[in-house]
Amino acid sequence: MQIPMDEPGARPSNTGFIGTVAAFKMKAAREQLIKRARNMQLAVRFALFGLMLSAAALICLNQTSIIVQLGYDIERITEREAVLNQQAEAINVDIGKLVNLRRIEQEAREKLHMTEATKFIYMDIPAASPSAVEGSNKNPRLYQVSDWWRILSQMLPSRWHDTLPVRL
Amino acid sequence: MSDKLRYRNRTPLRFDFQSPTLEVQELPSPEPETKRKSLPVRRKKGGLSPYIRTRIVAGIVMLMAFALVINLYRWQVVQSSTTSSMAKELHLQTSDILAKRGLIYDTNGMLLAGNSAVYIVWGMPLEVSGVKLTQNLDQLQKLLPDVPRDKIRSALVLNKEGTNKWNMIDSEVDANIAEQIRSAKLAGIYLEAKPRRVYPNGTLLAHILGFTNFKMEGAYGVEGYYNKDLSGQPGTILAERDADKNPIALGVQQISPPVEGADLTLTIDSAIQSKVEHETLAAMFRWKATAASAIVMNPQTGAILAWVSYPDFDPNNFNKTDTARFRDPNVSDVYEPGSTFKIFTTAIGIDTGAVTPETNAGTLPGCVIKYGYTVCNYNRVGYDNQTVIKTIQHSSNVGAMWIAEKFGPTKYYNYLHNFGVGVATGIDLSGEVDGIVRWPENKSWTMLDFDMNSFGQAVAVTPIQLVTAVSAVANGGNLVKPYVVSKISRDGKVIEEKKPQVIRQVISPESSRSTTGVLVQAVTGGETRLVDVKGYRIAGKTGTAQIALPTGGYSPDMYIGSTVAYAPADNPQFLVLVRLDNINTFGSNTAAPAVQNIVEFLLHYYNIPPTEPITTANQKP
Repeated sequence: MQIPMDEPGARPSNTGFIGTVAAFKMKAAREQLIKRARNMQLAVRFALFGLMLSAAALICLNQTSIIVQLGYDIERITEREAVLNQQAEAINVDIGKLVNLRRIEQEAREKLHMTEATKFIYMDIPAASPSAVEGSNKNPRLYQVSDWWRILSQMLPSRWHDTLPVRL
Repeated sequence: MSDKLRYRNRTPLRFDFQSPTLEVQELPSPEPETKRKSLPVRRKKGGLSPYIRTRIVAGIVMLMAFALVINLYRWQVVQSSTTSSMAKELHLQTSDILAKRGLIYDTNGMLLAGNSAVYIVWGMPLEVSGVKLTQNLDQLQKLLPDVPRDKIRSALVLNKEGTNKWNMIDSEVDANIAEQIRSAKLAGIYLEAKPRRVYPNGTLLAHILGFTNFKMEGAYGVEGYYNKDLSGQPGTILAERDADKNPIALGVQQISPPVEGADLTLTIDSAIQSKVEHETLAAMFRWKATAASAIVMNPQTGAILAWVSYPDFDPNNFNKTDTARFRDPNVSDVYEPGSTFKIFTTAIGIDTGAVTPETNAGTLPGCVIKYGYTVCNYNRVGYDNQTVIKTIQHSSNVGAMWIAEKFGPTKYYNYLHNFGVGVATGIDLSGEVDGIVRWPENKSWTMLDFDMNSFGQAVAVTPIQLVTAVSAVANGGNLVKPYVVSKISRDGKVIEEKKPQVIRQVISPESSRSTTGVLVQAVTGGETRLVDVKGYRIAGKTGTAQIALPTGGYSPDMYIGSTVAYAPADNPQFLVLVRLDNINTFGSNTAAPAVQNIVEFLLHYYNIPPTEPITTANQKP
């Protein structure tokens, strides 16, 4: 059955019973379309919301997994640190064993053939150095340089030059 | 009509926007639904109807659900605290964080006591399969040659009962070996570290250091005395853990950090210690002494520079040592000091004004009878024109009694008390005892005690007491408190720095100088001459004490030989005491040469230039 229309998009002619029925059916069809469009919109919104929720959950999960992984990494690093600390302490003890005076003395005697000093010479060096002159110690640089006798004393074995009278 | 539309059974309207016609299609009216025929109910004769059976099943389900709810209520509400604590226990675990034990250094920063770790090697048979078992056995056999192969095998194979899930393979594995095991990544092999105290210098300073037991608790020496400082405070970590016992990063975590143990810096100089140990041990072997000890102290401050006791022990292997060796004779054992005690008799005589170094007693015999007892000089020889100097030079017992009687017992014992005789010095080492002095207040005291005390018999002191008291004579009259630890620090920050502590002035500086002069004369021209070092003024006194027997009386042929000396006499930088036990000759021959070697070493070590002209008369005989 064909219902004539005046123009495309125009309301059907509202004449007679048939017109009334057609108008009623058109209204119903429009409402149906609107409802369907709304449903579609709702579905899209729901899908979008679902997607967002999934994305948020994924981000959250990813974040948690990264944190947990970092936690494990921290644990491993802490364990490694503890091992390294133990190794450092062991090295410290090894250094202590190496600087043991008995060992050094034995090495000195056996490998370097060193012997204990039997003769000690203490030298009295007169304090009449340039630094003894009044005013010479005003310039610290000059004072350092002018201590020629001190420099000379540095040439002596270490345990002697420390005992020399030093005016500072 | 499309099938789709029909299938959906929606409205039969379709609006075509392209063509302005409305096509109304009529769908065929659905066929009337035929009424579903119900299945015939089969019912056994005498059985329950499906209705009843359904109700019974439903009832059972309901009962179960009810039981579930009841139980849920019980667990969640009634016993909520118990269940929540059980859950917490499962996830929340508290573990201790061990505090690192403090280190011990000598005065030059040399490590004397450090920390290391030994490892326990565990085997877990459940993780070891057939091929891995052979690999593990071969690898571990190479790395742990002391452990029998059978023991390793039994530790890696599950027994019939399946009870040996964790088995110890070795409990004392060195860190290097442990690292090799770790890097080998052997399946089912686990390492557990346990802290261990290490003394890198072995027996050096054993009595001063003491040791720590397997629980890392200090015993003896500074390890015992400063155990609280060295131990620190362990911390705790409360953390939520997963099934593998790893802390959950976002879980509950409460950390109470540990307080690390404090480091100790001793006053001991390892270089001096090493030399003193060498000389003392040499003297001990030379004179066949059963024990020997030595103390070097700075008499100005009370700082201990060296501390030796033989026989010693290795604190690394304390568990393999006779426990009697842990006792430090320098603080825990008393002995009769003999003639070294005459230093105090002389100092008291001079300080009270009863005598001067030149006071002349005239002729004194070699032996005198006192209160029924015969008291003699060691050689039973008497001397003419016996001055105080000559008394000390010849170490005359009769002369010492003569000096003591000049000022009497009351002043004598007052001074002895002020010198700290018979009282613990308070040195920071564990196990110090007081010494034995019979004071006039004691009922058993007699005047004979007074006479015998004047030359160092019938009185017992610890070596540290004697050294402290002689220091008062050496340093101008001040009794100083001896100490071993100079600094307590944590993380490089100094917590406590020990300062020299003067307890009291015992004698005047003038008396100190006079007494030192007498002691210098004893070294230059007396029985103590073996202590002399060319070019230096050394003050000293030897002593030979009889050994009291447990049965009463004294040993007829065994002595304790000792010598005490300080230098430079006019401004002493160190004081040395060497003691040899159970020798059959005099202290002047035995301990004195050891003291001389130590004094000579110290003079050069401290770069102290000679002050006296070097003459052949001063040479060592």
